[in-house]
Amino acid sequence: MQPEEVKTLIKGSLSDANVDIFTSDDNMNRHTHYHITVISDAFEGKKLLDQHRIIMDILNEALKVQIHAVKIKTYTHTRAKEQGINFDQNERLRND
Amino acid sequence: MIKMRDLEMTEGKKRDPLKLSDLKEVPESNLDPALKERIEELLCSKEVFLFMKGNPMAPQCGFSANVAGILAQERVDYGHFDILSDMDIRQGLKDYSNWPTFPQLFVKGELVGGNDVISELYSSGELSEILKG
Repeated sequence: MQPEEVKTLIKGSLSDANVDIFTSDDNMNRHTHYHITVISDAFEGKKLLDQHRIIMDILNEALKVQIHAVKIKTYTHTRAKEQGINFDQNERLRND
Repeated sequence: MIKMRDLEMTEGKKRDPLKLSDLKEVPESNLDPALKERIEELLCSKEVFLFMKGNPMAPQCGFSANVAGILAQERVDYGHFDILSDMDIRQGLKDYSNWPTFPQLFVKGELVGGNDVISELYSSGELSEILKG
């Protein structure tokens, strides 16, 4: 599964989402670790665990990815703005 | 690494065990009733309960070690269970909590999170509040 496909999947469920994904290698040199950051108002007022559950559920149903190899970070649009996080202007595939 | 000294300082405030009625109602699942009862018995034994790989003195996984380390920093009195010692609990808990990975930290019978969530709540300072119940 390519990062772009995962991004499309999340945006398909959360229409207002800004998504940033980068992958890192496991020790077999495979791109198996997904670091996923999502900005969406779907997280508003929800506990952090429930925010993560939203993303896990999206990944769970559509792919059988190794969940332990996914690292999730969630923000609402307001919170992302406060923290100066805006990756829509800089959508390079981060793997640096 | 967790030092012995840290563990000895976790006396914190002693808490009464929970009653079964304190636990959040879990949605219907195909979890075996006897297994569900065993899980709930564990969750009732302490307000703060960690399902982990290994134990706080000898964690068998970096993520479990991290969360046990955080709880030591928080000076909280907590119960723990080694899921590597019991495959029924290991699988059953995933169904019970609807969460696929370990460790899993519960407060008053409710899942607060795994390593990612607990680390983030610890960094933001929210974890202390949650642990107070």
